[in-house]
Amino acid sequence: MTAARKYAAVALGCAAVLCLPLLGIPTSWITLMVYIGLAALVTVGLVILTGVGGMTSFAQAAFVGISAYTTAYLTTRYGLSPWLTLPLCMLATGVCALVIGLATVPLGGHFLSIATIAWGVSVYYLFGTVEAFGLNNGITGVPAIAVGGFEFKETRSFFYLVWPAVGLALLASSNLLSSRVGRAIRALHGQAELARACGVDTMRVKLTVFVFAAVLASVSGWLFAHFQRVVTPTSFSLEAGLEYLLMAVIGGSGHLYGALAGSAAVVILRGQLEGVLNGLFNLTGNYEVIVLGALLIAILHAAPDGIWSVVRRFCRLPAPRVPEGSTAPDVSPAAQPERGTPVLTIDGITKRFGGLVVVNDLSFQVRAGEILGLIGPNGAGKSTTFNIISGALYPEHGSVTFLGDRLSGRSPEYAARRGVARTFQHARLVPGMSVLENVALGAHRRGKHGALRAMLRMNVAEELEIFGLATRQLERLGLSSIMHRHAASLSLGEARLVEIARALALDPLLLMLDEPAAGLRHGEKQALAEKLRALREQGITVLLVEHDMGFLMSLVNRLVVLNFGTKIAEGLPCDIRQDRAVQVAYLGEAIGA
Amino acid sequence: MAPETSLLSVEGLGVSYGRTRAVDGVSLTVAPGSIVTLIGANGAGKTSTLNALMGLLSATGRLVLDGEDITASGLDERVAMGLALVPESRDLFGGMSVEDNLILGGYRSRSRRAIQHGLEANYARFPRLKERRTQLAGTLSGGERQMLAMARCLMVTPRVLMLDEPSLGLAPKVVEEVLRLVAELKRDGMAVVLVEQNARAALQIADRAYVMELGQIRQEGDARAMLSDPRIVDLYLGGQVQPA
Amino acid sequence: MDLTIFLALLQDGLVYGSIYAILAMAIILVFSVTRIVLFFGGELIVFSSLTMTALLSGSTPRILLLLGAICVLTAVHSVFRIRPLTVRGALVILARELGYPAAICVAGVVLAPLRMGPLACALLTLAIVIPLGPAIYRLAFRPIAQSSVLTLMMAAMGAHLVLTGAGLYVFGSDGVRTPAYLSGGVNLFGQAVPWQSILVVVVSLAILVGLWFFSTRTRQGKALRASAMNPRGARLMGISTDASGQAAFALAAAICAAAGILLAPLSTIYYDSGFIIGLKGFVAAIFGGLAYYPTALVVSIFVGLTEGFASFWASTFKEVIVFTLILPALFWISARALHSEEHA
Repeated sequence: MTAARKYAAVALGCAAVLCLPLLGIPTSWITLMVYIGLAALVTVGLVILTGVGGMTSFAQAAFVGISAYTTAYLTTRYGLSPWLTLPLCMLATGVCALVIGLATVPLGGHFLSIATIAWGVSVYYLFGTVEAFGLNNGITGVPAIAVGGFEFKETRSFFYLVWPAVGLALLASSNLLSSRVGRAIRALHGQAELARACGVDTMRVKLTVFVFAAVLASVSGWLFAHFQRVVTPTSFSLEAGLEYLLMAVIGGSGHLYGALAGSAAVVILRGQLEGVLNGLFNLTGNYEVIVLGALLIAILHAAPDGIWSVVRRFCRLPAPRVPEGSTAPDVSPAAQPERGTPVLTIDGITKRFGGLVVVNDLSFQVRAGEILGLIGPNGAGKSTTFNIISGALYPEHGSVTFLGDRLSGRSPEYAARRGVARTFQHARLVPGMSVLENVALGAHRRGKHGALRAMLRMNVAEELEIFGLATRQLERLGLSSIMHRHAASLSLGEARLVEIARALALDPLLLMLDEPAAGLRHGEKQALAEKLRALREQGITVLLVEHDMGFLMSLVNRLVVLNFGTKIAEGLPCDIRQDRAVQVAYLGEAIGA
Repeated sequence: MAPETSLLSVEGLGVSYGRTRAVDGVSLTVAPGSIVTLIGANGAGKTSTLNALMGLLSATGRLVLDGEDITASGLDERVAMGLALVPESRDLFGGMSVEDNLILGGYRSRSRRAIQHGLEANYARFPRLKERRTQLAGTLSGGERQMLAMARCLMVTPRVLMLDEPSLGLAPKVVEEVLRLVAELKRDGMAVVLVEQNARAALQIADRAYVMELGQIRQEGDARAMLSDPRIVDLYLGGQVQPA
Repeated sequence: MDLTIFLALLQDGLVYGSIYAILAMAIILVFSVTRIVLFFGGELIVFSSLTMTALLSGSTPRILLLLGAICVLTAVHSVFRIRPLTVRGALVILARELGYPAAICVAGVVLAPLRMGPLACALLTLAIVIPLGPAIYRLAFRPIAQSSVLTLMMAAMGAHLVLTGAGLYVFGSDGVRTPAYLSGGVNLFGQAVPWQSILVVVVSLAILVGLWFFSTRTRQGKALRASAMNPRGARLMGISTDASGQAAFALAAAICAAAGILLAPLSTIYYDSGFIIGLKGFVAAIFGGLAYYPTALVVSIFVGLTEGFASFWASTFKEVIVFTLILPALFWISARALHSEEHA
């Protein structure tokens, strides 16, 4: 579906939705749609937070509540106009989210989720204990939203407040996700290491998403307060938070539109259940809770880890505008140092895991314009050395210096910013993005426009520049034909080349490749070796870790051989091959010899 | 070797990780009371083969143990049927004592006497473990951990014992000790499948050898004959060198 | 505040702290073996209290309905798992999974009106509540046992919702309270300490010691610890993760049942009182990093004491205080984890 046709379809859909209240549809359905819209606002944020960003939050309802109480309090106590309280609510909730986020987001993983439960419950109890908030009765008499003399009291009119808001939220989210920041967000879930290697400040990006989701929830809260005109704590309990999560889990099987589907499913189900169960039993109250809980469990059984990976795989966004190869603005490459001068110096690094010495007083140099191979049998410490250089691990002793800059003890983002680009052993690409977008992620540090400009689509020029850069790297490696293919559909050989293209997009001075030939067929290995030789001609320095000796022997300038974390040989390939110590290391020694 | 006389027979084993085919059409046979070794360069698929045989990985192909088709059996069943694996990571219970680790090795057996008997046999075979019986497994040296891992599997005598790189991370002297112990196991009638980095040492103690590369069997035959085969060097260190 | 009030609050804090302590043990036990966070521990405690109260007053405990429903669902689920599906196979499973629950239901119905003494009622309560543990594991968690911690967490939340909702239907919305099992008291430091309070602390200690003994001295206990330490290694030894999971849940249910029995005379229990109790045990378990028992123990007592003293000074804010306490705990744990794992 072309972009134009897609926009037309979306426009048609919007028009249809907006016409609904004018047709003779019963009010109860319109009310349902209002509630769906309110829920969708929160769920869109939650889908991005949890599905895309990988942070499971059980407490989005708390943010809805903060906003709802803020506006209810300000409009009833101080008589402020709701239109004034809207930006105030968004601001207040945003600030709260920032503070809570600073405390919560660094925790990561399941502790982050546990933290959301903790403060979610805290905030809920706070609502019920502060005198000014009316305790368990909440705040009543909240005024309706008014424009001129017209009050949005009736459901049918309120519909026209909610759904345009939902539309705007979807638009802003879509813009955000297809921007430079968006690519970083999409790399968060499961590929954070990769993002850092491209120079992304992952903590900052995570906070951005956290606050964004909270602000969306705050809009919902503001609308909710002025629709119900009564605000009580029960709407913002842990249960409510779980309900939003359920909506995100159900609907997460598609687009951002999945949030709409999930919200609709749960709201309608709840409405139906209340009717049915109230008819069957005399006691009201907790039956929907049983069904919702059971539904959550059932869905998790049906697709336990699959739902989020399904989201990522099918989260298709309109293909980004790609400039023509020749008219792409040319970004001047960083000046390469003179051939032969030392570029990377490893000096006496030692690393222990537990009691075991994994890298032992290792020293070597990588010189400009050469391809250096780091080899050794299994468990020799090659990957550890690699990770120390790239900043993923810290050595106990020794240092890593890159063009005079100390890299050891600093983050992977730092190394990336200094011009060290790396690939990964298992070809890490973000599965939900196209090849071009993956390579563009490598150019993350070339841009500077943040989330706000992205949402407002004020970053078009910068995006063109970034994509131009990415296109050129793909051309350099002969990958132009697969530019728009989905990353998940590539063969291993293609994926490895795309990784290299992404590393090149960083405009690196040193290219570090982690087992680039592993798993490739013979023909693919030849092709890769040729591409690497070509890059060497262009003046790029390469450090590579490899097992495949045949691949290496004709490719590298020099070899460094490790065994038990110690350097046992260094020199030209032909010499290494004859080296007795190397032979013993690889083939072993006969026992009793 | 005819499949009927083999204890363990593998036909067309295949393992895939996403796009990569780690093991492709591997067939091997293990005779009772023999040592079979699987050698090859890194990434050849040796560990994946062992894991698939144990049932830790899902795989295609056919597996027959002592005449019984066990292809459909899961890990728990294969353990009960007498397959044992000492993985590369050893998977010891670090926070528990040596003796507790051994006792748990005998978990399958209900009889207290059998476990006692197994303990004594292991302490006789590995006197160093007896010295350290109350020590926490996590504080043992590399060689002792390897011994404990093997002893654990031997508590209830397995029919086929599989060892994944037992010499990994061990000093040469210790390697000698460990591999000699492995050779002795054969005397007790057990079948052993050995995956080893130290190809030369492995070929010395094994009866039959299979050489793997890129997930496939490239060569198979008598282990001792392969020791003197120059092609092995090529396989590990690459072919002729071209100027860079 | 004078000494008597201080001592009274101290006593209260210790008593409630003991209950949070054994709940925290259960949470840590279950998490270390199965990676599931026991969000519904509070519900199990409270259901046990309500059952105990029912038995003491001679009425048939309505929890039997819940037990029956869950066991039937689990049995049906198990039947549809077997391949190939035969009538004989199905009957075997139904007999195996429904045999004990059916017997217990009969026992419950028959014995309840007899108005037995506290000890007999306690034993019957244990017999009724303990099978709920493994049944919930089989129904809700076994199919997704290999999933990520977050998926399991969401499922545990779902279980919490289901049990809370079912609780309303099964037990009704009234609150109940039993008279103390032991009357009278003893004089300590000039303070009248009721035997009931001493009973709670002593039984809690006994449970802790028992748990320690079980995991370090018995074969099954060691197997459970092994499963927690190294699941793959345990499986290679023939220790099935499924059996370990069910055992962990059975133990946790036993601990929660005991906690509920101890709790029943202490305060008025409603069908949803479990939530707040569960969360407090949860706080303590978090302080132990969901892994380390001694810390959780100490923190539980601290939580009990904080609660007691907070209720004297700032009663309305006591829940808020308790939950905000989790944040520094999480920080500390995460800082420690980062230190040992580094940047990767």
